[in-house]
Amino acid sequence: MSVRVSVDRLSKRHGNVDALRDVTLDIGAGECVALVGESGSGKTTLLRCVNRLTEPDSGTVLLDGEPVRTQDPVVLRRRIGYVPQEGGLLPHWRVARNVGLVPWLDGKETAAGTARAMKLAGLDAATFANRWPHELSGGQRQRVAIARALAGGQSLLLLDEPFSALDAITRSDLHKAFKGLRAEARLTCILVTHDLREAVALADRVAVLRAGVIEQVSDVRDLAARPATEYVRRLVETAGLGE
Amino acid sequence: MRRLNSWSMRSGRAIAVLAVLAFVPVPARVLHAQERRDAPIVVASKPFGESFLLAEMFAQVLEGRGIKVERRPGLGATEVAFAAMRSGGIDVYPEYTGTGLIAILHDTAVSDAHSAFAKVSREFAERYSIHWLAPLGFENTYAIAVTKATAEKFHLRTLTDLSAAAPSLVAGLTPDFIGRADGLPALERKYGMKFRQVKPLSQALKYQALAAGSVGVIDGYSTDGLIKKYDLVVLVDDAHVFPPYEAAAMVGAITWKSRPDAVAALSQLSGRLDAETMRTLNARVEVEHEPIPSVAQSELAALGLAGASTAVDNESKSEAGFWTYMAEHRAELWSEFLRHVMLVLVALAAGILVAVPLGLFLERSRASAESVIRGVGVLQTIPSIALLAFMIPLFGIGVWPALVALWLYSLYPILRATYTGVRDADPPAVNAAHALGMTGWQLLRYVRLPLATPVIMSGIRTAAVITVGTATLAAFVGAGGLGEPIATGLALADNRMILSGALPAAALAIVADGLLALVERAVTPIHLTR
Repeated sequence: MSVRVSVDRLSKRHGNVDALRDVTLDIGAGECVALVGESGSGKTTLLRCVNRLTEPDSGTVLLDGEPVRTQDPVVLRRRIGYVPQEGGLLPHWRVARNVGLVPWLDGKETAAGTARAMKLAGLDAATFANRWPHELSGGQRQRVAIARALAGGQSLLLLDEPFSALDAITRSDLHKAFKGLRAEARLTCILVTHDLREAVALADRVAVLRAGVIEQVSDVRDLAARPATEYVRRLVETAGLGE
Repeated sequence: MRRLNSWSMRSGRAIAVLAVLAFVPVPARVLHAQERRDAPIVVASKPFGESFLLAEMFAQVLEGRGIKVERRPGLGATEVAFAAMRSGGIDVYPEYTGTGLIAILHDTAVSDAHSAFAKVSREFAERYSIHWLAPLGFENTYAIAVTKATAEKFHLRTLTDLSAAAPSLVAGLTPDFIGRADGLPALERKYGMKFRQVKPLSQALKYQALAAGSVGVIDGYSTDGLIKKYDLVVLVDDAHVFPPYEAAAMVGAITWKSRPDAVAALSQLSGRLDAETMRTLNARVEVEHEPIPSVAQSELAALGLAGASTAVDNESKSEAGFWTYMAEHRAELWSEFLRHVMLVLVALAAGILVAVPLGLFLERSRASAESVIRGVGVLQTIPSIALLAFMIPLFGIGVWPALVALWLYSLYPILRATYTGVRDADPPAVNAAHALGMTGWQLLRYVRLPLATPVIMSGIRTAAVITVGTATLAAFVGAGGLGEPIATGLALADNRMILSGALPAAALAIVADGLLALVERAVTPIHLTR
């Protein structure tokens, strides 16, 4: 059911800056790959090319072998879950309506579907369905955003720094919830983060980006053991992941 | 005020053409000669006391011959009155030769009264088919006045005399006079006039300032009633610096052609009014606050001309206080108030109906947004009176030009607020909804618009307050409203009358703003309410 993502020789320039330079990356069905790098490394641009929020200058993104370029962007985006940094909840909609956004756009939302998605994200529907976003804590808001990203039955999830703005305890709770979620629903995930520890904790593989180029893609265990470049070695070291 | 005419009719026409393109034209009052035989003669005036009085005299003279009359007093300044006459909206109003020369023909070369009249009567007939009847007999030109005491002390009779004494005198002049080429600069050029100091003073204050001795010389108009009241000495313009301003009745094309009876009736006044008489009459109106109809009637009787057969409403001149005045006139004020509210409501509703959808549409086509909004913003910079004047060729006089002008003024604040409101609505929410597959229109409908409502409402509130204020100018194009007592009160120097329009208008602005604040609260999204 879940989706295989192939990024093939993707390039994108923003003005005079190479946001992505010839980036190739394969993500298997059900796999979680973390894109790690400092701001400006191109990790968010890569993510946005997947659901066509950004169009690359060259190269293709394929979902199960189908180029996204040939798909209607609105239809495409409704098939792909998206979780931004600070939730991006619609502040004038109650929690249940936020969660049911994508099914509602397709004319298919049901209370049961909404409750199921909330449960996946670790939220009790009875407690939270009628709350307003501004009545929630930061962690609860991110759970609503995750539920919203899943409520349409999406099997590919794009997460753009989803836990960065949370305090340490809440972040650790959300990490657990995210792992539980992956165990329960077979999801392909692309997780953008600047935190290598988070990447190692949550992802199957890590791709380190620097100035629009992938420095290394490897299994999380191999990254610390065999850094491919000096940059990766320092990154591992600063994150306290070396020996 | 009466000769202020900085806006040229030519550039006005260009904007009027743009205005035609900008909206569906509503039929103007198109009139054909055939339809006019039984139609009343529309007698108009400009918004100052002397013009009111002359128009009333015209009206009564016509009524005295059994001719039906419709009164349109107080049309806002030359552009408006002249545009109304050209479009056939009015048939006769009192005008001055100098104004015709300078403001309409843009000619400043003529300096003697006789050739000025010859020129305007020839040019107006040729260019506009508008006709000047023979002058009424007085000039209302600039007058440089001093107190009797000053005149005696410095032996002043002429402006040449004054130029010798000027270095020891302080002049209090209207800003208009200081700036105009035919005002102070002309005095300096022709007489070598150099005052010790020149203080800019408003029209309303200068007579009091002169009487109080804070200035020694003022500018005025030769028939000002206040010259009489304060017993001032008007100095003779011996070098003929000031342009000739002979008063005469100006008659529109249709009346001239098809209503010889009206032309004959009006011609009875030619040559019958001299400057001294006008000063006395103006003083009765502006200083004594005698009702205009009774002043007109008694003067016509004195001239041996038949006035209106029906007795004019001879309300006794009232020196009662403001509240008594309000109580006495509550019926008229109430109806002007309702009219004002109607003007504001209709213009504002039309403004919302156009500007809000346009703002939403521009969010969807942002490339053109700024230029469109700036274009609408330019309308805001057109002076109200000028904008009203441009409307007259298109919509005649009355309610329509006022509504269209008010509508145009309401557009910018609403459009600007709508566009920026939807454009800048909660970026993270908009970005997330977009990323999850909302179309651009769905984003607008379900995210941007609801989140922008407080901003849009603040734009509507601004527009409402502006419209309540600007609607007071509707009186200048004959649309009525609370501007009616304000304009008349200003013209007649009657503070009670001014306040009887200004206070309700101010109250209306406050109430409208307050009510819309409640609406704003009701439509504000819940997360922004605390």
